[in-house]
Amino acid sequence: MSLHDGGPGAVLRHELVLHDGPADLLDLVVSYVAEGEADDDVVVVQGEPTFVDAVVRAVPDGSRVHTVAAPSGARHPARDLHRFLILLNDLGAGVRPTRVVNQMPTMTAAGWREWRRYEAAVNVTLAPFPIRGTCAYDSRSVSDGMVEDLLATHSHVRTAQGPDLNAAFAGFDDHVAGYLRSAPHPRAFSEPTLSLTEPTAAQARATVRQLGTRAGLDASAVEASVLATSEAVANGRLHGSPPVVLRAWVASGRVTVAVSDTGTGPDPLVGLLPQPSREAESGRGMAIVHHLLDDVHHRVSADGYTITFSVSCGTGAAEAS
Amino acid sequence: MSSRFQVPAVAVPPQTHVCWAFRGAREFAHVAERYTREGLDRHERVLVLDGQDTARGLVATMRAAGRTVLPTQVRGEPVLVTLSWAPDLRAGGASADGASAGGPSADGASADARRSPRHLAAEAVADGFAGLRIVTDATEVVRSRERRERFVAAEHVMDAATVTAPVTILCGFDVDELGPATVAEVACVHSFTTEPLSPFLFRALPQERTVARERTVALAGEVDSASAGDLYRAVLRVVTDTGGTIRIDVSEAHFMSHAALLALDRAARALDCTVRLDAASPVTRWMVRFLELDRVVAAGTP
Repeated sequence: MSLHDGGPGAVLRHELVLHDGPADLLDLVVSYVAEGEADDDVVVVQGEPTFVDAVVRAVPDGSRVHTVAAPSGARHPARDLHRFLILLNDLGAGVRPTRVVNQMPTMTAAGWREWRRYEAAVNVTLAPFPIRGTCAYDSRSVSDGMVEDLLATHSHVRTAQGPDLNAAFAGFDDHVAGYLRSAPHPRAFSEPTLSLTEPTAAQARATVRQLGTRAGLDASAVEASVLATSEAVANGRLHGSPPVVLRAWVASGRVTVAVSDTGTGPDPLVGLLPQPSREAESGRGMAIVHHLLDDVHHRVSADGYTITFSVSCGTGAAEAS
Repeated sequence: MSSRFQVPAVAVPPQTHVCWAFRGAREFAHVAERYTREGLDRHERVLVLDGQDTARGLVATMRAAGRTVLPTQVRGEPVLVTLSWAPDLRAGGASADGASAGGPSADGASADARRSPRHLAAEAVADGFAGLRIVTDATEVVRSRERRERFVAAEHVMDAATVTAPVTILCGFDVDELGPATVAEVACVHSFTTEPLSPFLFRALPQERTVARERTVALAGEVDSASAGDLYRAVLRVVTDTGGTIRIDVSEAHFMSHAALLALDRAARALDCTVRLDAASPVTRWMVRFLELDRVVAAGTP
C-alpha cells in the first residue's frame, strides 16, 4: 500500500461525515456542494435517489452536479470503487479539482467486513486524484467498532463547523494490517462436501464445475465459481505456502468454496487495489473475483490464510449480462 | 482438456490430425506400423516423413512385408512413399491452400505448393487412392527452440489441411526425450492428442466457417495463468496474415482466465490486429470489458 497522510501536498482528501439522518446530512453538505459549483469544481453526489434529488434541488445550479443514484441495496464495495474510478476518469477528475459527496449505504455487521476495506482502499486507489471525497454515514446505523474503522481510514472529519484533520488517521497502516484477521466463515464449522489437498488449478476447476452443476447452479454461477476457484488455487500455489487445501460445501442451492494455504496471506486490501498495467501478464484475478461475487471472505490466522466464497443461482449474471 | 479431443493413435477416422506422445523407439515402431497398415488397408497413400532411425525402421519393416516403397513421391502407383523431413512440406507455403511465394512450375503450382499436404492429397486421390496418410517421428525436429517455433507455425497449416482435404496425420514425439513442457508446446496446434498433452488446442476450422479476409481458428480446452504464455506464443507463430482481425471460436474453450485474455491482447498488439472471440460466454465477455482490453472484443453465440 502507499498512503498519503492527508497533510500538505496530499492529493486526495478523504473526509468522514457522521450525520443523524438524511435531513441532517443535507444541511451538512449543501453549502459544501454549492461552494464546489462556485469554484468550478467537478461535483459528484452519490447516494439514495431521494437524497441525490434533494441535493440537486437545494443547490443554486443543480444541473452542474453529476449524480449517481444508487439505492442502498444495490451497493457493492468492489463494484462501487471500480465504477467510481471510471466515472472520475470520464469527468476529467484527474486534472480538475473534484468534490464528491457519497451517502454510504445502511451498514450491516456482515457487510462491514468489505465496506471497511473499501474505505481503506479509497486512500490508495483514489490517491492520484485531486479529490475531496466525503463519505457520509448515518451515525444511527454504525457501531462503535465501525466508527473506529472509519476514523482510522479518513484523513479528515467534517462537521457543521467544516473539515478538521483527523489524528486517528495516523494509525492507518497498523489498523488496516489486521483487517483479514477475521472470524472463520460460518460454513467452516460444518463438514465439507469434499476436500482436495494440493490440487492443481485444473483439478480444482473440474471439481467445482462438477459440484456446481450437480447443485443445479445456472451456467453463469458455475462459471463464476470455477473462475474464482481457479484464481484462488493458482494464487495459493504461487504466493502461499503448502499445502493448498480446497474444501467445498453444497447446501440449499448454494456452493461455498474455501481455499487455504499455510502462508501469511495477501495484502489486507486484496482485490480492491489499483490494477496493474495492461502489459502485466496477470495480477487482476482477485479484483475480478471481488467484482463478480457478492460473498468473498478472507481470513488470516495462525494456521495460515483462507479465502472463502459462495455462489448461488444468479451469481455473476448481473455483471455478465 | 475435454476427452472429446483425445483419440488413440490408430483406428481414427480419416482427416484426423493427431499429436502422439510415445515413449521410446519400440513403441513408435509398433504403433506406427499399425497406423501404416491401417492406411494401406483403407487404400490410402501413406507418406512416411523420413529422417530419423525410427522412420527408417518403419520403412524397412514395410519393405520386408512386401510393400512397395519408393524414395520420393511420383505420379503413379506407389502406396507407400518416403520423403525426407522438410519444413517446407509442413509449411506448404504461407497458407493452408499451399499458396506460397515459391516459383511456379509448368502446371502453375509453386514448388512449395506441390509439396503441401493438400496438393499431395489431391495427387493421391487423382491416382485412385482414398486419400493421403502421413506418419512422422518429429522428435528431433522440435528439439531446438528455433526449429520448434517453425514447426508450430507449419503444424497449424497441416491441421488446416486435414480439415478440408483427405489427409490423415499422426505426429509422434518421444516425450521421454523432449519432456512434457516441450511436447505441450507442439501439441497445442493439433486437433487431437492421444492423452492430455496440452491444456488447450488451437485448432483449424473448416473452410466454410472462415470469413473472407479474416483468419479464423478455434480454441478448445482451458487456458489459465500457467498456460497463457503458451497461448500467446501459439498465436504469434500460427497467425502470419491476420487481415486485421483474428477470429477465434471459443465455443469449446471451457475456461479462459483473465491471464488468457491478457495474452490475446498482447498478441494482438504484437500482430497489430484485433482478436475477436466468437461464442464467448457471458463471463468472458464481461471480463473483456472489465479488463478494458482494446485489442480484444468478445461476442456471444450468434
